[in-house]
Amino acid sequence: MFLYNITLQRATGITHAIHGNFSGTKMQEIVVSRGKILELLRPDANTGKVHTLLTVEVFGVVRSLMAFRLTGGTKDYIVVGSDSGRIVILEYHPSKNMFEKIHQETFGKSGCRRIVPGQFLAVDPKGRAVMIGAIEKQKLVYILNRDAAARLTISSPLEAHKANTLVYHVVGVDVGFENPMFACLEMDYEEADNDPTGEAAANTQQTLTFYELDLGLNHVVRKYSEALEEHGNFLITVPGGSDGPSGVLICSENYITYKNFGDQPDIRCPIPRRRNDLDDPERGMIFVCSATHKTKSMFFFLAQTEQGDIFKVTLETDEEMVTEIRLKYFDTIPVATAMCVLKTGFLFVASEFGNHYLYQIAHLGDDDDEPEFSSAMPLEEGDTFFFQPRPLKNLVLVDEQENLSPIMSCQIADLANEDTPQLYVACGRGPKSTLRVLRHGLEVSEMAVSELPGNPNAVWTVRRHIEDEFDAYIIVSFVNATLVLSIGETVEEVTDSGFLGTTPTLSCSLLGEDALVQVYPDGIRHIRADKRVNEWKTPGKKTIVRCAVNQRQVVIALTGGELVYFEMDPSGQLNEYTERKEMSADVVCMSLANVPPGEQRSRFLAVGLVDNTVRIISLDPSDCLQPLSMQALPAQPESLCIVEMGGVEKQDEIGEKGTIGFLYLNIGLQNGVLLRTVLDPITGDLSDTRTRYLGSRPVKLFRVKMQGQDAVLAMSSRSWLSYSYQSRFHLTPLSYETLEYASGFASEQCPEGIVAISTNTLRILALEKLGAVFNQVAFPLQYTPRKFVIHPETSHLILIETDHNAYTEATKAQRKQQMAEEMVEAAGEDERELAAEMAAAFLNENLPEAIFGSPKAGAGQWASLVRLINPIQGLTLDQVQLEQNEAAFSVAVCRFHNAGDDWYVLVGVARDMILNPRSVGGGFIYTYRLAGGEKLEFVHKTPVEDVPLAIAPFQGRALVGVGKLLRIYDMGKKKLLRKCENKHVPNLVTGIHTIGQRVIVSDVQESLFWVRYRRNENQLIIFADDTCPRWVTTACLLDYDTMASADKFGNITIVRLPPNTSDDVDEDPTGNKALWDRGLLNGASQKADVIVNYHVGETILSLQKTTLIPGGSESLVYTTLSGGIGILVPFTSHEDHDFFQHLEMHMRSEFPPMGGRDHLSFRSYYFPVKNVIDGDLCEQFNSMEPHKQKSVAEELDRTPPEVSKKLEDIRTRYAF
Amino acid sequence: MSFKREGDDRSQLNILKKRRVADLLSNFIPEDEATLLSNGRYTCLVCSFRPVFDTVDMLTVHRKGKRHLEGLKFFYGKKAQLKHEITKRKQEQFVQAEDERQDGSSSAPLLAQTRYLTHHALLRTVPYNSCHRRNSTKTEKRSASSALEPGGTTCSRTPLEHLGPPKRGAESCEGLSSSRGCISGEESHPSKPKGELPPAAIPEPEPMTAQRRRELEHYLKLKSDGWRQDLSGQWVKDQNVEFDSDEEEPPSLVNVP
Repeated sequence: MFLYNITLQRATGITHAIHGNFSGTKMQEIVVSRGKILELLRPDANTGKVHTLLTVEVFGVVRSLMAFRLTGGTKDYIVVGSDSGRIVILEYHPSKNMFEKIHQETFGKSGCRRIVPGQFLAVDPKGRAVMIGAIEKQKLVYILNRDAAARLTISSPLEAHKANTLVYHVVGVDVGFENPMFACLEMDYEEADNDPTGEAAANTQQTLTFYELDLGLNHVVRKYSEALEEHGNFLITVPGGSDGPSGVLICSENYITYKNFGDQPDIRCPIPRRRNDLDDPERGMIFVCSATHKTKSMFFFLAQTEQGDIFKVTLETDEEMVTEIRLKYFDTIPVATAMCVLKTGFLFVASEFGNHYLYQIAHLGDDDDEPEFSSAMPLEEGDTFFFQPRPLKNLVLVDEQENLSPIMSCQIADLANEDTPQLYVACGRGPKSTLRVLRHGLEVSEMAVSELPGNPNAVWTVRRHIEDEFDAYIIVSFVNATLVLSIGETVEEVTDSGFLGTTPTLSCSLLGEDALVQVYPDGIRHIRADKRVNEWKTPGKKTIVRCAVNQRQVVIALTGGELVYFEMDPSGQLNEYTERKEMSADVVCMSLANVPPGEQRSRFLAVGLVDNTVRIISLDPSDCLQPLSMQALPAQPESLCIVEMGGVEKQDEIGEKGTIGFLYLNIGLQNGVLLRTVLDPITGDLSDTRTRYLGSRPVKLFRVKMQGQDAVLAMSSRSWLSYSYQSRFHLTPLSYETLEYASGFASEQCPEGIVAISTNTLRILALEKLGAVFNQVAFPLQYTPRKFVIHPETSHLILIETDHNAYTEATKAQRKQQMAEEMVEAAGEDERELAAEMAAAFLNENLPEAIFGSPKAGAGQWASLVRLINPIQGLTLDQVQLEQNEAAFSVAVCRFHNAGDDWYVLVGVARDMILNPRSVGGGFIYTYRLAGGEKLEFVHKTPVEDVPLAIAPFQGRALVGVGKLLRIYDMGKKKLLRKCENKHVPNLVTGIHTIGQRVIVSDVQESLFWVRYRRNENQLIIFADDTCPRWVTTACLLDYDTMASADKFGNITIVRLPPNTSDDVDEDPTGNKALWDRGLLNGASQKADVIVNYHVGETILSLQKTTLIPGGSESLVYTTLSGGIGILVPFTSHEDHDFFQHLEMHMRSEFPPMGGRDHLSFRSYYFPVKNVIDGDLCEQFNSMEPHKQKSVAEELDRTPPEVSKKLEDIRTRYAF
Repeated sequence: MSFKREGDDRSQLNILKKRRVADLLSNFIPEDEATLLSNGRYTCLVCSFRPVFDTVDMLTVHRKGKRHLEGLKFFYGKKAQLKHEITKRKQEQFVQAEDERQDGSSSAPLLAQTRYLTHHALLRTVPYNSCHRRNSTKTEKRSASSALEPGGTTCSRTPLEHLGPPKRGAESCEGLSSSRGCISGEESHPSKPKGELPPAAIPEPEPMTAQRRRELEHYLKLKSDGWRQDLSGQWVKDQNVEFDSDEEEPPSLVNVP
């Protein structure tokens, strides 16, 4: 078996985010890392939308990311610390839209190791040096400079190692133009290590150490080290030099401290806490994330606590000495991994879990009456300030980026009966959790819908002048009339536009600079800017049947197949060409390309005829109306569209911006098939045809603009958008109802939209999430979803949600009540009334937990519920709250042989579980009857000794993994009855799959076990197992002998039992189970063979074998914790496999990954990669430079278009 | 990485060759002389004390040992004896058949065949093998089907069989369908002397009626529910299995829908 890996949706969680001027212009961009992916985002200051410019897989783990700018430079570079044992500096090239690796320096072994640098990066704020540090011991400093040609240079590394030292955080200190300095949170464990009494370990203090890079001596010295009172978790650089007092802020538990050299005393301020918080008051509070904003005149920091509250931190200075730290509550947003404050006043928040946000900073929190907390306020040691959290006041949400991470569970099924299966994804964490339904398709936002007086046939938009940014008119054609609407603040009908309203329209367009043209059955109407009208009438009884129009040319087809060609001359006059052309058959459709910038005309006309052919006709003056090429079609054409796509932005010598792409002829057929053919710009030859079935209705094609580029809207029974995005062609259906006719639309409110008609309505639509494969519908959940099952009869989902460190609703209410009572009691006699009022207000206060977070109850506190949900409408039909400290971990829906036709839901629950060191106070299996599929009726609960982590139906009974025991339970009257047991699974049963008499059990750390149930002896016997230890997270049956499994390190493995495996192994015949006679390491005698190994690089939590598109082949779909969705698909022929194997091999050598990690070694991180070809790498072929593409393609005996066609084919065969 | 032999010492080369061939051949152990246990070890079927070995190599070493070779003599001696016995009876049978043919009373070839099969069945019970055999499925099909007779009416089994190894997965459908297709000799009672069977009275294998199928299914259900049959054929509860508190008797077939 050979498999091919395709990523359907890349990871969406963000691990790092930095901002800077990466393209070298004034615009600020954001670079984010998503584990193994680097992405460049650009927030559009006008629309407030975040656009993705570039996404690159680096095939390595990005561990740290920094923006770096040389002194006096205007462009930021990206410094990447990864698991490659190398430091990599990348530059973004906006013209080619790609990252270029400009430096790659090797310093250690690859892998995430303790002493190999890569975990921490710090840059000198003045842009002279970079420090890269390991978790322990090693730190290297590279001096960066520029050479005579202003290119970035990098020095040899300077060592700043210190053995036996752990590092917590490193930042560059802003010291102006003195020697670069780095501050480091460290802990020296040497003493503690050598002291057997453990006393030293208890007393070891964290230190703040400054390392100075002496540029004169070219040497790094440990300048100064100071023990800290509190244990710090991260550092913030304070601007220095001419901008501020320099130094660092140390964020530690409950305090934020300012430190600097010289006479500066430490300034320390407690971190304020929420008033009347349900959290454990003994719990410390820490800052987890910060962002710095600096202008010429001022600077401030935004620091976020682990509850999500943001504080604005400012420093009061007196002659370069800091006298006071001031904290002011700013706003509360979801807890972030990184925040970026942009110069345009936006705050980009990369959330830890759930969607990412772009906020506008509306106020700086200066001018209101909320209290400001200061280090100068007298407070007792251990006392702190309190504040009241409130909804957003200073920030305004402007954009949201959908993020699935973490995907806890996923099932793919067509529960909504839509032909194409949907992905039901349980994702998120805590109160921000959601159940999302993913459907293949582009999300469409409906901007306006208005009814029209009849059923229109067609719609167009025209601008008034070629320089205009926005459209002026919408022209709607009916059977016997034409309606002209003007676009302004509102859309209203106009009559003075010059268009003829009493006839249907065939086409209309802007002609030349400022004239308009209307083609109608009886003639052509040319409307000049000064409203003069020229008319051309059809000769005799002929009418115009088809036409094609662009900025300078008009071609019409008269009845009988006669073509008449008009071209605009320099005076703006529309002139008929001297000859006409008689076609051999009736014309069905025509298309003209746009006039290329700087040229007089488009050279090609495409004509579709009734005889199932498409002909390309030259419009060049030298051979005007001469046929150039012809293509036969499998069915009659319906619509044609010539577009230029796939180009990159280029600037020519004059400075004119434009895109250079390929010309494509799109052909929509009457049988619902879309053909895309490359049109040679010189000869007009047609080549490289790609075919795709779109739907049951004839395909109509419309040219629209998407992100400044041409795209094609194809309409069949479903509408599709064909566009080029990040150098790849996408053909994505729109998640919207059937449309009939469309045109591009641009107005102030909607700069890039579509105007379309559907029955008797006119709709203005916008497609914003280009590049997205799925559109999502999200339903909120209360706790972290763990697992869910589908009830086969009603298609409802039974979902278990469990949170650690959380209170149940009941406990929360009880604690609140208790606190309110305490408040009243604590008050003095005279304040009683006031206190009672406050208590009542406190009880009534209800901050949404999805934003403000839920109270942290402490370790060992669990909250859990079982939910019955209709996944189509998102309605919760029933919900069972479990008691405090009961944690649901497994769920199954099954029928029992001895209990009739009722469906039962079994929920495995652990009681009083403590995660570390692991202990559990027992468990239960709750049994509920699914009454009518709408209600969970409690039947009984069965106590068990350990955590039931897995439940599966099996032959009318239930298999349950209780800790390390595998048991069969049958339905009893008062509880479930244990019927059979196997004790030989080594650690913890985490999953159970069954097929026939076979049971496949996954162990938490020892991979899979094949178990046979023998009815006659009522025994479960392990007859085979795997040879490698795997920390299995999820598994999936592929066939009777084959299992796919994924582990927590991000590997996918497929194992298969050899064909001669016997299910009927016996227990020992001698009967004497002496110590010396147990199996080798207690393993089974038969072993499964590994047939596939592959490292995905993200923890995989669900695997499923399914078909994703109707009529497609089966594939193995996986979802990852980081929010990625991918598939592994089998090759159908040996030739294909051979081809991709070679392509992968060439790509490895020709296009090495950006992060510096070797591709082969990354894919073989834990087990050598076996029988899987990496489609992500192969698809980078399309983003390679053309000459490299050519050389790789030549090695494969093909042309570059053929290679990309193969890449596209294998993708569309299985997915989208 | 290549390992090269130095010199061209002929005899050394031959020794190596021989060793290699021996190594290769060591795995050719006749199937009835050793067997694989569930724990992946091997046991020697030749030696009466059934030694257990971790690897094939160790088994090979053992097979060269004195005790094993001694055992081998006994093992094959017994086998040869058995073979001899078979030929002897065959001959007897042939002679008898010839006689009967001369009588002219029965020329039915079916009868001869049946008789032959009875012989065969008779013989098969003689060599009792305590070890599990991978390839033979007949014994336990027979034992399973006899055990499947409801109500513990099977008393004809020898006590030895009771103590025998646990029967292999003669389970529900597979077991049922294949027992239907088994040859008639298996169904006929093995312990009945041959002479008592009038040739015409040999019953055809009982067809699998719905009733019988239900009985078998019921038997398996009781077994998998944790009921066990004691030596007297009574159903008793397995100590390791849980039952409903009011469940004292196994559900009888009549009550089962």
